[in-house]
Amino acid sequence: MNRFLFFLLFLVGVFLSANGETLLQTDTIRKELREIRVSDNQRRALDATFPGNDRLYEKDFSRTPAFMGESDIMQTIRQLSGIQSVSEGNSGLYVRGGSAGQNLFLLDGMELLNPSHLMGIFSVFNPTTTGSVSVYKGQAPVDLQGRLSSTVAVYSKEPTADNQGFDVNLGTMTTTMSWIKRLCNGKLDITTGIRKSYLEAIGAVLSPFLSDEQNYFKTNSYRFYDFNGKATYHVDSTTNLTFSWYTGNDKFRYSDPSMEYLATNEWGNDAMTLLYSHQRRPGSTFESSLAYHSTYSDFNGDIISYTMQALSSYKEIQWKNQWERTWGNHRFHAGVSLADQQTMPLDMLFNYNSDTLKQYHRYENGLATLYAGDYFTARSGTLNGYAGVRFTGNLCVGNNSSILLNLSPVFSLSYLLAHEQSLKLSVSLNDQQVHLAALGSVPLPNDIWVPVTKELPSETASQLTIGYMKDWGSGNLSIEMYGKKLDHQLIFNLLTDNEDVNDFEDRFFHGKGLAYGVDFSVEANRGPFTGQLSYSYSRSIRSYSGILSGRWFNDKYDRPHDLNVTLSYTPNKTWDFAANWVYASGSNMNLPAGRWWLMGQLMNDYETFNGFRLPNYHRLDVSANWHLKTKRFKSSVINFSITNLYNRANAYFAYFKVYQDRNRYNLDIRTKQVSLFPILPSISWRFSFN
Amino acid sequence: MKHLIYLLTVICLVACSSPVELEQQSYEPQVVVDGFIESGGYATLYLTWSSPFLTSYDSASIRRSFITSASVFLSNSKGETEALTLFRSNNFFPPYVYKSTEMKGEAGETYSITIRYDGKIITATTTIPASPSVGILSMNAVSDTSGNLKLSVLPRSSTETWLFIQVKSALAKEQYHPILTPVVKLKPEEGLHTIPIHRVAESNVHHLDTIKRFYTSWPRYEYSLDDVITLKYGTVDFDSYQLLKSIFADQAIQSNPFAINSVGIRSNINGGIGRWTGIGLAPTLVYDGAN
Repeated sequence: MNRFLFFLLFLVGVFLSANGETLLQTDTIRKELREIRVSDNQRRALDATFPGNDRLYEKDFSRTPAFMGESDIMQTIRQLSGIQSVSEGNSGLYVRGGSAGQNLFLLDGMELLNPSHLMGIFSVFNPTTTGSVSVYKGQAPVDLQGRLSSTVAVYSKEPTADNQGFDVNLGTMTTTMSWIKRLCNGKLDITTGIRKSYLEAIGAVLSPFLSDEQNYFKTNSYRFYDFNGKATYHVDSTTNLTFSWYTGNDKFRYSDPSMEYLATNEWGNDAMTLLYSHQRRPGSTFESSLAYHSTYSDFNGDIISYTMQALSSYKEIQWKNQWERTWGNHRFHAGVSLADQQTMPLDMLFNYNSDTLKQYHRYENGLATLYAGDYFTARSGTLNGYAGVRFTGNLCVGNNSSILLNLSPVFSLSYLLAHEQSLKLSVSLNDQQVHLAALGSVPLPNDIWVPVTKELPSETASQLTIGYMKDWGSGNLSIEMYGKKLDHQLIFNLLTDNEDVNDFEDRFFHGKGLAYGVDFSVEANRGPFTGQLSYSYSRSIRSYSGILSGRWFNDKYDRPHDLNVTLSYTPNKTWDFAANWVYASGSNMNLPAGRWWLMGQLMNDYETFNGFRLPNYHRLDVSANWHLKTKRFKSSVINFSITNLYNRANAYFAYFKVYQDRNRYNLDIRTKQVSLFPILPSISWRFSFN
Repeated sequence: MKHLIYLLTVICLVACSSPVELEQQSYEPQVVVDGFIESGGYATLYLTWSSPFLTSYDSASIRRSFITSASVFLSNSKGETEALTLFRSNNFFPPYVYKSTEMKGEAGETYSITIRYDGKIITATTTIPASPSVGILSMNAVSDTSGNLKLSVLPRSSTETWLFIQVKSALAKEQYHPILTPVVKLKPEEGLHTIPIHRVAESNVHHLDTIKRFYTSWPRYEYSLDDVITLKYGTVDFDSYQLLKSIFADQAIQSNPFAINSVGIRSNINGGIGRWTGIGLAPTLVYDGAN
């Protein structure tokens, strides 16, 4: 039924789009906007319509110290105020009190649901193909909405006179390569990149020196790759056809024969989009796209007498049309999209001896979205703003079918004051039509996507943001305050027994959240020095009726203080240096408050949730780029980086162990932390050629 | 969702660690009741103080956690009442136990306890359900020396019954203690239930003493084929079933830092924490490896 409706709507849409250019004539041409953004980089905070909107460019990525020879887009994003700086072993992005599943990641318009490689160490975005990134912290134009906390829109480079050719980065763990070219007399633009890890090669290198049992990389393996790109065919001066794609995969194999243990874990994303865009005349544009994206994880484990297989997947096909038109002081855009979501949160087979447990859950949803928004200016350009509304109808198909409706308005104003200052205000009600259920206390690639159903309604957030910005030519300052109320939040209840529930949806706690804070950011350039300081004070609390009878508690990633300082120094054309120091409050842990004896064993007493805070996190990373003089290459740069320069043992998580001596009546509970990264030096070589 | 807990355990196996100081949140110690009454047996009750989680016990402070001066009264639905007597018990920890000397548990009866201590009045009530049917204990050999023990038992009536299973090993010189997953629901429509009797290995406990433990280096869950294993099992009421289930579900994830207990642990003690459990016992079953 759902598929039939989707097909029907698709046909109607194709018909409409065929006639669309005579019905609605608009413009925007994202490319044009991006070019404006690039040229206006220095005034980005002042001119943005939305508070909490940051734009990053290639020079920002290159300033971030590389990790194991590879710069990472997400690391640069984490240097922004309002976004938590800490990232070790954690694929999640935490924006203004939100959670990991409340961020929309778009690569050239394609959604990527699982945006990390190597358990969160690298993001899926290829740094050599990325041209710019636009980040919205909770409030965005209606066409970029869809998650409560943020939208991260990553745009690949367009071929220009300077950047065409090959770009290669040979890192310590990965090699990344991109190719950017304008072909066929300017009719075809191609930007493509591939990245591949070679951790398995480390095992081969160590083989002569270690036995197979001692060689971790011989008995265990980790590999990942990704391949993305964009090909634009310029049909004529007003019409473009663009095909974008992404495919990426991580595979991790761990074995320990002494424990009779073998596990493989695999996850990845696939996405593609075909985009038709037509500019009837300046100021009037129509775009139509057909997009597919999916994510999956597949865990297989074999330990002693247990075997387990757990699959999870999410697939979405979307057809979207958007019209944009400029007249006078208004730039109006409107769109309609239809999507078919197929979600399989869990397909699991668990064997113990002769016992088998099988679980299989599958859902299908049909989404129809209508949106309209208007950028406007008034008072001779000193006041600009945006007003928009997004309507979503979600048809949940199945035994308990239902239609759920959401209306999400957003309003934003920016008032330009004298002396290069501006005030901003934004208010919004946002929703998201899919949930991310964390299986453990830290985000994992195996966390499962769960659809919206009647029992698990869409998450919503209302947010108010006010901000003040100032530019002074060689720098800028930004202060923003926000408050956010979150509803229909979910926590997956790991301890639910199968016998206690009828449906998969019964395995969740339902609750609400509050987040508020102040983000402060200052950036200054003086001669060869560039410095940036971002500080956020934020609080994020939650309340779930099934936990502590609804009492409020700190969110796991409630970190009141988060400071990020970046300094770069370019003394000449041969060398440049960068350093990044991060200081943040520790995250929270759910340890018991008390302990007691029962049946001769030590038991836990839980009085709070997330009641323990891990030690504060801090880390200094440094890097140096050596620009070699070369005639063979267009550019040749050797990067030296040291991650965690002073070898701080930061806690990834903590656990406890009981030490007891019943003869002497001694008992001690000792907490231990697990740290991922010691001091890590690395070297990489990046070069480009035609 | 034990299988998901298993997945999380697997993931944390690759980690390494170092000591860390965490700040103990404020915690008000509570009176802990660990009590039970079995059909045909005397009431047994251990009283202790709970402690803040991240504090160390030494011999002096651990002794202070034993409550030995409480007045404990047992009453039943017939109106009978008895004051429990404190005994020293060297075979169990904690080593002081309050016991009845006259009143014994009867199936179908309701039992209440009232504890007066330090100005507090602590109460709890439980019932003893009818005993389960007699099961069969058998061993499936996994190797020449070890095997998996299992209990086969039929549901007794047309309604659901809830079992609580304890075990002791002669080779390990154990007292009765719960098996790894000691609470089981029996559904009449499912016929014969086969319950694995997993040997308990406290993975998060590091023993500093020199007591030799027979099963220290044995495969997880398995027993020696030469052991003499005694199984004590009985029915509990639904409240006790849920309470015990919450306790042992928490135990299962204690050593896994990725797992979260979002629901806490249940208690049926008013004015304190712990359990007061009535158990309708079946005859004990013995696996004798020598025979």
